Amino acid sequence: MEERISQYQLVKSKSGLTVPLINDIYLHSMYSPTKEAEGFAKLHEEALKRKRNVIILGLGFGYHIEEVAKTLNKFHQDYRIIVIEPNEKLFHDFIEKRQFEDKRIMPLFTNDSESLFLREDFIEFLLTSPAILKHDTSFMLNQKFFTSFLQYRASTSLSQLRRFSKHIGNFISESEEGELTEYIEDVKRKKNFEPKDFLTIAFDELTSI
Amino acid sequence: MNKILIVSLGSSKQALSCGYMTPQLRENNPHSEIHLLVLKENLDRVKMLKHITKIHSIDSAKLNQIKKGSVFSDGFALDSMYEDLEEVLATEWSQVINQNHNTLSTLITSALQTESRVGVSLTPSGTTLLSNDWAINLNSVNTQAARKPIETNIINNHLFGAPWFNEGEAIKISEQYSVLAGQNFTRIRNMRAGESKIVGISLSQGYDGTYLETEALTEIVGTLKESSEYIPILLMDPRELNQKTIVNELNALYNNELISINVDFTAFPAISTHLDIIISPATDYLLAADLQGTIALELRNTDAFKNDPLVTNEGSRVIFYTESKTISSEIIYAVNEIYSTELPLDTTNGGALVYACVKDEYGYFFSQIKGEISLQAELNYHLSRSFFFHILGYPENQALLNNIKEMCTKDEIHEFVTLTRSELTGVVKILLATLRSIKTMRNTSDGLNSFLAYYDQLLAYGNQDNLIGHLIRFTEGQIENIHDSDAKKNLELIEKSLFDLKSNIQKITETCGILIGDLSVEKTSSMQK
Repeated sequence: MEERISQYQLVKSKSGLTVPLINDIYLHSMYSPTKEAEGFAKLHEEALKRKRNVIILGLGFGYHIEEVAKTLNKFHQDYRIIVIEPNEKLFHDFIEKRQFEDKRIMPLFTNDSESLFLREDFIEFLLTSPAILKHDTSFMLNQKFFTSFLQYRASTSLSQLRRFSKHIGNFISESEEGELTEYIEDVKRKKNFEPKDFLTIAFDELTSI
Repeated sequence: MNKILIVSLGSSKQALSCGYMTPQLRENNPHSEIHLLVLKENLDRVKMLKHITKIHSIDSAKLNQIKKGSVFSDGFALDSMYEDLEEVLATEWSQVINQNHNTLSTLITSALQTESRVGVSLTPSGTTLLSNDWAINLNSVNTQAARKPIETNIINNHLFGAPWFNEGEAIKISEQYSVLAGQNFTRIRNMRAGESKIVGISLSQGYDGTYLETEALTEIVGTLKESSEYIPILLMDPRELNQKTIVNELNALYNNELISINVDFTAFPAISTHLDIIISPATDYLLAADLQGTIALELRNTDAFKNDPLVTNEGSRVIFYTESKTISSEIIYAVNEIYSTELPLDTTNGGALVYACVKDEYGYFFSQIKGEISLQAELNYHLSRSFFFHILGYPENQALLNNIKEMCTKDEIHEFVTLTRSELTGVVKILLATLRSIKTMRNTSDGLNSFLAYYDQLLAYGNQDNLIGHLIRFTEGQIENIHDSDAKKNLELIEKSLFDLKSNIQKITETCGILIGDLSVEKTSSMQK
């Protein structure tokens, strides 16, 4: 979902750094974006000490992200940062003009939050329980998108599961509909079982531990 | 190339216990691949087992994390499980052995491609199928016995047709650790002139919550250290931070002279080969030591034989105790007894029940050697064990009967026999009525209700926790394992099982006769011929 962008400009701060100006909002300090970025990292230092994986909501022009990376580097041998940005123009301008030297930072453009949860690599990253930091000005500009991302809940209907699963056919026939939990209960009540039925019940057994 | 899969999707203890099967499995199948399927959390335990071609695992922690997280689609959980099992599901196995018989292992065993499922599996109609009488024994007798007539480890080997044999090498020892341990233990032994026994003492908590409290530890360590015959070594689990504190406190009492080892599980086999004896609650470390043949004193709370003791080696002991104040004396007493030493102790009667692990031609068993004894329970255990080995194909244990006649008084035997005979009378009456009702069912269309009523009465005897109860449950298991779709054939098989029960009851009756002197052992053998 795209928020309405009526104004987009890249301007120079007093310290000579590029600052995006979107809908009258400067994404970074016009005096010293780097000093502001240091403050951002300091504010989240406790979380960065505990967690070596981080999701940052809002790319801005990357200054706050680089400071977060510096802080993570102090506390951890290895770390990863995923940056989520829904503004396509901003994303491409950044990639064109700056890029992150640090290969452990991965910027992702998307304006459809659900599409993130379809990605296996993103799910694997989420399973590491990363810290989630929001870049306030980016969040303000894209509140609807980021809120929908933070409030996302996966559907449990079989039709939706098929979008997320490559191997669901090894458990559940194509023709089945409804909710997964109901389907599993139906399988348990069957009078004749196929091997995939035992596998489905085993899945239920494993995830009831 | 034949491929055999062992499925053990349960606890670390169960997964590690596959080590009792693998040497025999390898000996019987020298050219086959042996694979193992475990939960990922048990990987570090089983990767030290020998004879395994490949280990597969299911990451249940990840599955649960995905399933329980509201942002994660269950589709990913299904994918994660499938990807963990992909190779196992795609393989045509020559044999799949369900080793721990829990629901999960049984479901997975039943989902796999194989002509031979060993242990418990499910039929396409969802009923339980047991591969042989040993599996029936495990499923019907052991699950309800306070003290199992035949140990689970022994039954597991017989599931795939092998006798109990734990002298094969089950565990890999890293060469690097082996060299280091060899050097260190040589130094330790050289600290004393003469040959001292090295005693490993575990500080860990057992599966049942048992652990050695500091006071008991202090007494045990002190007594061993002050002797010339023993060198105590404290075995610490590096994951348990509190153990370091305990060791420091103990060391403060002994001028920092105590030897303690921080034992990573991978390094432990290299260490336990140098221990003469290990004192420990039931833990994975004790199990690993037992797999290597190390003698052990296994410490247990007094739910007695509710869970199988871990030890299997001749000379090991199981100590069941409630009173932690006297456990140090019980342990020292056991050590004195094993090695014929005379270390001082506060009391010779701490109230613990102590069982010795004894080897015989059938496998191993536990015999009570100390503490208040229930002779009837002991007789029941030994006779049940002997009886079940016999009906499962072993020769009769005549030595046991002679031993009982020698060791027990006439009154004690008489009490056991009288009770057994009176129960048998009741069972036989109902059994004969059940068999007659089957005849009636065959000749007329009536009789089903009557058969069911008598059969129910017969099964009620299975609630007893004694030889007769075990036998009734075994028969019930055999009958439940009949899966013929032909009703007439089903009835024939049920009848056969009941006639087998009658024959087995006759064996028990003869055994009672031998014990009480009505029959001699030789006369029974000639009758059987």
